[in-house]
Amino acid sequence: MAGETETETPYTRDRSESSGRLRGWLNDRSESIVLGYPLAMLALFFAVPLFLLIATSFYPKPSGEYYQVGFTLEHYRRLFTVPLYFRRLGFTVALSMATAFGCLAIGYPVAYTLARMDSRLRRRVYITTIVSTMWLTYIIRSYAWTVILSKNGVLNEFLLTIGAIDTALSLTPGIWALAIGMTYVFLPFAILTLYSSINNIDPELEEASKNLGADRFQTFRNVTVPLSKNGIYSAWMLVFILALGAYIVPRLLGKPAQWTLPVIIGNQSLNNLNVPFGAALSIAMMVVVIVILVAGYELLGLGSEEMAGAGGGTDG
Amino acid sequence: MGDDRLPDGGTVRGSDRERERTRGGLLRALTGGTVDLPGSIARLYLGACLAFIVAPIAIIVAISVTPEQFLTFPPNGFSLRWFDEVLSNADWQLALLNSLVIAAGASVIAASIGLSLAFAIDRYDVRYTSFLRGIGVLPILIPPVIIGVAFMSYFFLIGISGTLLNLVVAHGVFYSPFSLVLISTGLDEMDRSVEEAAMNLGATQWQTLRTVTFPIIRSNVFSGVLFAFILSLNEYIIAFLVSGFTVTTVPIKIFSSLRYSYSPTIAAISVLYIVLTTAVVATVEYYTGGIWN
Repeated sequence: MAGETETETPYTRDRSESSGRLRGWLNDRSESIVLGYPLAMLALFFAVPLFLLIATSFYPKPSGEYYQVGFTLEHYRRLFTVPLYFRRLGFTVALSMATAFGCLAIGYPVAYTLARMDSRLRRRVYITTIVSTMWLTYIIRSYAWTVILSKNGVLNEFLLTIGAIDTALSLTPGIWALAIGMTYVFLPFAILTLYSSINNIDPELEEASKNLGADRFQTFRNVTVPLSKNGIYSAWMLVFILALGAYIVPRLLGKPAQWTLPVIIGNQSLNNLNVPFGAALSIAMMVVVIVILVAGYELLGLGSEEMAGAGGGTDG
Repeated sequence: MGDDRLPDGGTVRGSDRERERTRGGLLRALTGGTVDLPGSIARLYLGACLAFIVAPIAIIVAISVTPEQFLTFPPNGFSLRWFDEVLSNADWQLALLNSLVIAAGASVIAASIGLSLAFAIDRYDVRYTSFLRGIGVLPILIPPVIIGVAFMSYFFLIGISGTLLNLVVAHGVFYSPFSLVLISTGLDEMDRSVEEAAMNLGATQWQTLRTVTFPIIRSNVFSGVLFAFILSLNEYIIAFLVSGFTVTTVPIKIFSSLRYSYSPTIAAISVLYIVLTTAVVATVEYYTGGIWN
């Protein structure tokens, strides 16, 4: 029993020995296990697959076969010479940027109101609601919007009933359904990131600004927004990166012409069984993501953890 | 903080009151000069956004309890037949079981990676601390479709593909950053002198770890496990690419069902997922005393 050994240990252990022990904490062998295990897992099941992905992007793809070990630049040539893929990339980046700005614009006032809310209980209920929807698979959330926006969907029923339209609108799949869906699924990430940033601002500073004669708007613009600058950058970056990787929402709510690069990557790898080309597209996309992450780090001073965000997220 | 509660229920901050009276004549005329108009607009806006967030979910719930194939307004009665249909269907049962097993396995792997890496970074004199943290967080920053394609060709190459274990490992590694960040935060915030006190009182390292350190960071570890569990449960694209068409999870099955129809059974299984997800989030929120606050 633990209790027995505790009492048996001599009380006269000297302090320096004890703190020396603390510094060493678990000793050498356990150190190599504690550090070695996660690194081995990440190496074996993260680094190696990614390096393999790079290798795969250079493998030839004989027709009828998965791939062949070898070396070819064919896939990269295709990527750079077929304008379709650049247009897809451009569209993906533009859509992601628009989504990030949209979520920021809609989410900031929400985050601010939540942060300055007096009732702690209500705030916790709202936040739990927001987080719950945030983690619900994108499939269910996109499906909900399909139900709302489809030709015999809820919105059309409603508009027909009140007589606002004569014939049902065909909204999904389409660019507006896609825009709404993207904003919808990523809004909670923006709200939470902004919320934790605004929540850290001392309300006294806003009070002081008002006492010095600034009105609400001036206070908001000159005190609150600058103090939550890092939150704004993080939220924008988080939504942008998540949106770049979005697969489900464009696939379900967008027309084929509006499918983003991840959808193309998935299709190449699964439907066309052209894994090497899918890998080449993945590498191209990863370069874009890395450039953006480095830019975020260099220009805005965001660390990887800030960008991983408030509870993070993925394209479920 | 010196709020003056006014007779009609509106509030005005003490420091604001004088200015509000001298400014904004139109607002004052409209509201009688006493209502905190920006405050009401803020509340209204918050309500509208929450409605935007909740309404689609509410519509799914409405569909799942409608007796007919299509949703009508007002709904014609109430029925649980779609739930019955989903839960008694062997395919959905298998998908649900797969999803739960994968999520449970993945959350254990994610937590074990996060916990050990967080400890190593916190306790040892390892160099490249920020590099290790960066590596640990990296999986979540890479678009999942890319991770999926990478895993797909990796598992194909080593000759083990299309098993539950593939999905467990893929999700476990992909979601380990949450555990790492959460547990690192817990260890950073922890008061180290309590450990020292335990050791000075004669506790061994293991006893200190077990009876002092772990209880302090327990909620962080627990949250990390639940995060990974719920994210794995809801993940589609990695699972789909790794599954090789042989393992079916709930998101995979929902997605393939959506190609053919918008049957209310999909709404019913969605509602089960909504309830499960909300329950886990509320548990984390309650257990940690407001992790997002």
